[in-house]
Amino acid sequence: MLIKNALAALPGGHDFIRCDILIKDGKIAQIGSDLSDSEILDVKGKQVFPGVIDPHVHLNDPGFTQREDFYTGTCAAAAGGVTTIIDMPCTSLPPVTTLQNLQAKLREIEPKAIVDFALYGGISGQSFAHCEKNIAELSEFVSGFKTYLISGMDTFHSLDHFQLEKVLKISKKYNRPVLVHAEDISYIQSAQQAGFANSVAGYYKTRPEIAELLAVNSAVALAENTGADLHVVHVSSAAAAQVVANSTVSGETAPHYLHFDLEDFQKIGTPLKVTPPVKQPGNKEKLWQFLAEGKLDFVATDHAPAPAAMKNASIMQAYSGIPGLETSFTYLYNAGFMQKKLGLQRLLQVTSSQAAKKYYLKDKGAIKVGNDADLLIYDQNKNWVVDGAKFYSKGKLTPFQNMKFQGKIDKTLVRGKIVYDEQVGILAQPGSGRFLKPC
Amino acid sequence: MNNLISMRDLTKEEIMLFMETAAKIEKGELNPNMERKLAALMFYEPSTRTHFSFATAMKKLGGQTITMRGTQNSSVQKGESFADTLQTLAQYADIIVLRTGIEGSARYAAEVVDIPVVNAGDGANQHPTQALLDLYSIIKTQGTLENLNIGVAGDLRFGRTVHSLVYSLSEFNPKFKFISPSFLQMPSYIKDDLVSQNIEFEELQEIDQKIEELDVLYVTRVQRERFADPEEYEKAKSSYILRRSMLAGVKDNFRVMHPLPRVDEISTDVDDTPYAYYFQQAKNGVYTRQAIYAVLLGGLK
Repeated sequence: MLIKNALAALPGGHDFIRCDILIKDGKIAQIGSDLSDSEILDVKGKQVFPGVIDPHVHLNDPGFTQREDFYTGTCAAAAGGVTTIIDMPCTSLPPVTTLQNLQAKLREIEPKAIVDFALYGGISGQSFAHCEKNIAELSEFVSGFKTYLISGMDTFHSLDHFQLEKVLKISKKYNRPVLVHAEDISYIQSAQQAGFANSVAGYYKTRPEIAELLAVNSAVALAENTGADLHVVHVSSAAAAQVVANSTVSGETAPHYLHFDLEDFQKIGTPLKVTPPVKQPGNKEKLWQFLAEGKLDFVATDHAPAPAAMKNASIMQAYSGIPGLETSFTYLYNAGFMQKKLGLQRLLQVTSSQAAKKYYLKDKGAIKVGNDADLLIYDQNKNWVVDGAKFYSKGKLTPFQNMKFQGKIDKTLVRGKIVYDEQVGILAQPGSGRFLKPC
Repeated sequence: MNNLISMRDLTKEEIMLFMETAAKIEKGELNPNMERKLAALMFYEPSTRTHFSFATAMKKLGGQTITMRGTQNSSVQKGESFADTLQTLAQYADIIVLRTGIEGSARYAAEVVDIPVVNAGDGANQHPTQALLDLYSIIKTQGTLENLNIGVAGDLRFGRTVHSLVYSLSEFNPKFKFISPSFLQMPSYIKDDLVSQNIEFEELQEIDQKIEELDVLYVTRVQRERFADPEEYEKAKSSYILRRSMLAGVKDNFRVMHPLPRVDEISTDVDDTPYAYYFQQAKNGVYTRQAIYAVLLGGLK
């Protein structure tokens, strides 16, 4: 297939380049002008980006499919221009803590996926005793190992500092990053018993900036002592981001931390309940700055949807997590690129190339000859108002509800096949998404 | 040629067409008639000089201009898309001159409308009309663009003007001297490109270090904000100020250029030497932009 008249965001430039992109066998075969082919997709006037890589999603399959399954989750990805996701090990049953569990999960999800996917392994409190063996066996198949310094999940407990240190040392041997959810367990557990009101303010007081800072400091110290590759997921505060910036450790943030603060949380309520919670005003501006300067490495959504029934509860009881796949790119395009917070190259880095590099995803992350033809076609001339009711995700409540965006995702291509078309909907068959082993 | 978006789109012949057209207009040998032409100057970002220069150029050719500034009081505030605004203006005007802060927006505009689009600066990307007027200033003072010894001083890391200039000159076998504090050096991707094209360059720390070898010294501003430590700035600053006393041994054809506005990187005692060229350079901007209108609107005959 030939993508004709693209305004393509190629790596390295500050401008879209008018070109044709020839796709053969799912790969980008040639980028040039006046190319020809029997099958043509004319995208005149539209911008073409590398497909988004979202390295932090919870698709909950198998085990928690009332919240999301691999078909609805990858459909949401396709509609959001996301062509590769990396799924978390903790929110499925069984959790991906052993090779056997990973194989069981793959059997369940491979027939459902419509975009490409990779998996993380996990080291939980329960599986720690066998971490040496599990890391050895899983490394060939997973992009990294997820850990928690505090966990609200019965099926995936947190690690303490001693345990995290050991996981870091072993993962280093196998050249895999360790991902950590960094909030301080002792601070939060005491705060949860302090009797704060069942309100947004009360919930925030159980997990404020300092709870994140304490844990990020500890995790960074452990990583630098062991020389391991540690990645801090969903950095939500400026102080924690500063620690990450000054360290050898990498970090990501999410669109909701870039856009909302505690005052918004007061107004929006449970549809904005995430863990860690959004922070005091003043943090998000600094997160943008760190992201722009490369001190935070990339953006991931932490897509963790749940049906409205699980969100419509008191703030303390409501499910923590929001859908993110269907809004992340358009949000970053509008609030980042159009508002001049992110240049074009930085936009490409934070949505695609940096995650491809970090997680050893072969032939992904840029529009260049030889790479998979994973493309996002963006129509800048369409306006779009977010309506969660129309999401493919099972999570329909979004804090981005009614937000107006300039531009809309027109089509998403995975390895040269159109998987989503704004006019038509999902065009891919379940099972067309491929499992990606790290290279 | 339908649009002027990026210097990288231009062949050497096309660059020379702009140079020759500007020269003919300046000498009065060519009088393009733009009497019935209207240029829409869409300035989403403020730039007084660039705007004046484009407006002056059109008026001197007998044409008219309309201006849209910022997004205040325009339909953009009401949520009209950029493409719709462009389409509407394209119904009134014969050419669009566009300045925005968003990379790639000029090329996008050129896709959307059927009339010519001139990129008057899009974010950190390109400013091709500045590059063309710089080239015109060089050719006017040196008689050629070929085989020149060009010094470029100041903020070479973030300076979009110098990046465009270096790229445009690289077709003409130049020798470059890049003069900057170490942390504001020319980005490595540009240096790699120069190496692959076999273009000679050296990196220096003092503005007068090899000034006697130069044909042109192009000075740009070193911004205080780039320095983490204000003391460092004060120290570094003096290494990048050009003073009259430094000009003792320069060649006769040597000229100092600057995109303006100047702050204090060229001492005012240089202004009345025969080497100062920055104010004429601004005047050349009008001839160059007249040439751009002429080339894009069919005014060469």
